[in-house]
Amino acid sequence: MKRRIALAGNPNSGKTSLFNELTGANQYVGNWPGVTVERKTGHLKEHEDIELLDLPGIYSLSPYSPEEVVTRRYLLDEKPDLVVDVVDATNLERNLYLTSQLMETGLPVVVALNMIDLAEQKGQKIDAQALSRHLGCPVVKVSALHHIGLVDLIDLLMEPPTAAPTPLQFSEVVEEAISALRVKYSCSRLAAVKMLENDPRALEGLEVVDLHFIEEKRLKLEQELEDDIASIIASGRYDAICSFMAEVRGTGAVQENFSEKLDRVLTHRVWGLGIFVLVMWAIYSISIGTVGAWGTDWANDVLFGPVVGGWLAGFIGTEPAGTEALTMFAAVLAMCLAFPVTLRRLHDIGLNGSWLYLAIAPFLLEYMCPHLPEILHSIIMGALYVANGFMLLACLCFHGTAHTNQYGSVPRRVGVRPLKLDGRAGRVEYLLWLVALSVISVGVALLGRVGLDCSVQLSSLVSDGIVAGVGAVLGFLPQMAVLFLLLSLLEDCGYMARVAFMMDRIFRSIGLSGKSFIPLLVSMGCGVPGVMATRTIENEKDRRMTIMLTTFVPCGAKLPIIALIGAVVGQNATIATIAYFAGIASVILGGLILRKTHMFAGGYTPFVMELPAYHTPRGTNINLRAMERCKAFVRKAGTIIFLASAIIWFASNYTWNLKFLNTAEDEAAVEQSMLADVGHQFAPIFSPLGWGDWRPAVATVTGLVAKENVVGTFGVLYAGSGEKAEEASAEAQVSETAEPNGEEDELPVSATLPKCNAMSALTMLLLQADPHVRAAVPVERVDEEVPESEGEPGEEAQAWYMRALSWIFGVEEDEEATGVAAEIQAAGAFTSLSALSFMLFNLLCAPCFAACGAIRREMNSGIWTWFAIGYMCAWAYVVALLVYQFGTWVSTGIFSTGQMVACVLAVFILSLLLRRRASAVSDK
Amino acid sequence: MQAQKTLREMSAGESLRVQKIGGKGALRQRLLDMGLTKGAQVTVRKVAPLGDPIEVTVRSYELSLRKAEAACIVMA
Repeated sequence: MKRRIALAGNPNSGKTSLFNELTGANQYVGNWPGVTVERKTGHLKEHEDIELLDLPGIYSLSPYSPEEVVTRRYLLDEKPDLVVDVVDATNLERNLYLTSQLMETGLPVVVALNMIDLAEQKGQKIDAQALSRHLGCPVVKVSALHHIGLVDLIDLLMEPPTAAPTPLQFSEVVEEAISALRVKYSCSRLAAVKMLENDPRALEGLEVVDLHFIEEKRLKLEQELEDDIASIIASGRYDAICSFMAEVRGTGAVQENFSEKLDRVLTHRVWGLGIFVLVMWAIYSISIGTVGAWGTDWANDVLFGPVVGGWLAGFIGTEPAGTEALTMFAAVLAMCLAFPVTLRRLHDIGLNGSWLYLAIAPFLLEYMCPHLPEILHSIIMGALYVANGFMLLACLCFHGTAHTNQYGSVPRRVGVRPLKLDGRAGRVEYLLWLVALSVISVGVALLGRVGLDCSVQLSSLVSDGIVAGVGAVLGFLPQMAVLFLLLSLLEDCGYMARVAFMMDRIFRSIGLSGKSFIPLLVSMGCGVPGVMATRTIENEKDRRMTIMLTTFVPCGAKLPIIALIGAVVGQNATIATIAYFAGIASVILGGLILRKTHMFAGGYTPFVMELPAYHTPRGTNINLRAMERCKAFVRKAGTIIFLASAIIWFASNYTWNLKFLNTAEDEAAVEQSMLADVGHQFAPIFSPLGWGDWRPAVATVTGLVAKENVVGTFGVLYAGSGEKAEEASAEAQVSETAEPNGEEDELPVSATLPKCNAMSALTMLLLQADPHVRAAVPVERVDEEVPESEGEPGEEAQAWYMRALSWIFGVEEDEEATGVAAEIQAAGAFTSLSALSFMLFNLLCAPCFAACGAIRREMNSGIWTWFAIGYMCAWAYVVALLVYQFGTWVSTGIFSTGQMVACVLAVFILSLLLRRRASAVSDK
Repeated sequence: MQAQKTLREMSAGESLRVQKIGGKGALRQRLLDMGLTKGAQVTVRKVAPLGDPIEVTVRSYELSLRKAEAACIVMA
């Protein structure tokens, strides 16, 4: 029969480390129903018939936090065969407080004194036998990190369950009340204590008479002890623990350990912030800048370009695929497919999953040191390949522990799914899967030779719709993987709690807590991991609010929009600054407004947080956490984005009569598509924002797939304006003003609006007139070359500022944006103001589908997701409207309906900001 | 009689015992669960770089709490 063992304990007591150690890191992540609290199950290493369950970390079984309620419900309703209480040995008293409550559940308990080595380093001698005697349950000293006592613990888990321990005693008066309740209701001790504590869940379904009886007992106690019940019970537990603490812990002098010394520097009043800024900068530059960017470049330029693209082209028969591309495709596919089974095999032979990084080391070397001397390069490469070869050999040769161990053979769970990550793979299984997956990969790669002569429609769907959409999103994966790894590292070593500690002051003033900082920071790279990073926020209201605000921060994908509008307006640096300030201001104002609504009001969120001791990060934990997050991201790309890309493709390539337009060959044909028609319908909504044309409306919609699409869509929709640009350039040179070429649906006020910066417009026109110049200028050089050729001091200063910005935020003027900007300017669809309002709307409105998906996942509720998205869109609309209408008023002096509406909205927002906090909906 | 001192008013390095926990509901329960019960010895370790929250040592571990929360804890 299968036995179920639950691991319970305080947060940060090393439960997960122990869990991974006991199960061999074979884990499965699921969600508890209703709450986004993860619960992991696994099977005990070498004893696959014992199921281990990692419960969320809790401090107590009180009814206040969802984790605690869920854990209590699990323990009482599903009754595991044994509870392993993981206790942090360096922090005995507080950890035993939970133990005292677990002992009352009536379930057999085993106490695992984790991190025993750290406690001993600190100079504490813990007497496990004395503790066991006092608690009345087995106590084992273990260290998951240093593999101390794990065998003893496993032996203990194998034994038939012992009887439940006798709970710790309260003072006599309290015990009297408890036994009176237990006799009257014949309930468990825990239930009696909870009734006494006035716990609504324990009191559910009781008669009024009974409630009075309990109330009477409670009041009597409170009167006798001159304290209230919560305090009596908590103090009672701690007093009972303290009574034997001296005997258990000895009185060894506690020395100041490394953690305290480190903490003194890292949270120092002056240097603390400096170090913090440095750490954040390092994370950002490694994940978004260097290593992550190499990965993303490779994914975009190589993998989804010639390799996957080439294979697909070969498969659907648009052009034959080269052998090199197919070989690479087969290799990459084989590596991806074989990854799970290799990982399981590594676990089986007792190796850490981190060894798999060896496989990507050659790739990193290529990017990290591109100018390595030939000899050195080949030596290192050779060494890396040999190391990889050895790893493979080890995987194929060594016996593992999957099927046999010192106790005999292990019941096997038959694993036919090669892609599953949990469980372990034996030698033969691995060999078979390796061969099979390689054959499959080669087979799939060979499909690139087929050259199906399928219709243009299908090939367009595949290449322009799906590969473009899904590829664009998957291209971010390397950056996100690196970011996830680094963040997991910080979380694991204990620095994250200090970040929250240092940042709390700032975030509390807008109604959030210090823990909201990390999501906001991560969102500067990408909103998807940003939203996922909110998971560390325990308080549900804080978490929801952070999710709603975090995507306001301009992410990497919004940079092209900023660059585009910067080029259109001709004030790159100013626009970039406005964009970032708008994002940050939206977060702040949003926080202030939302905090005052009924949904987020009340329920003051305490920031009582343990600052855990620093410890050396564990590779396995970090890898697993990062891998889980990556998996969630890939799953999203494979489902929601796949579908959304296909839909957008369909809408932009077909007319309402389902006539195929083939926009790939005739880009202007998109004007007849369904998407254009929808754009026409929606355009009037946006006319108060200054861009009531159908094209920006369409771009906004396609921006939902991925924000970079906005630039791409403009590229397609304004492509016809190229010829007009030349006329415009002639005009511009005559009149010396780059006056926008008025279009019929443009607002009449535009003529009197401030002109685009004449100099930059000229630059754009020059670039536009001669495509060879544009092609000759490498992407990253654009912002350097242009000012030089003009040689104007103001421009040069701007270029410097721009470079500084690009260094800080990664804002880069890209070639595509510049080219498209010239076309937009030529078409004259935007004035400076409407361009600004367009940018603000696109930066602040609903994020891309990937981020929406992440929001849905983290909110765990459809209503909340729609509320969040609706809020963002409404906010974006209002901001853009205010900017456009007030801007028009200031520049033209005309005050009409639009301005009136803007005034009303501004007053409304001010009243939202300044009103008093709404009272809590349900204040316990 | 000396005015009651709260945890908020203690300066870094000071060490006193808890006399009474104020507040209510979740906050109060949390404070109690974290070991801030009557008679527990609390030492203020440091103040965050921006002046709030504070870090204290209670029952031989480090706990951070905001000044507003510290104001609920009466020391003796």
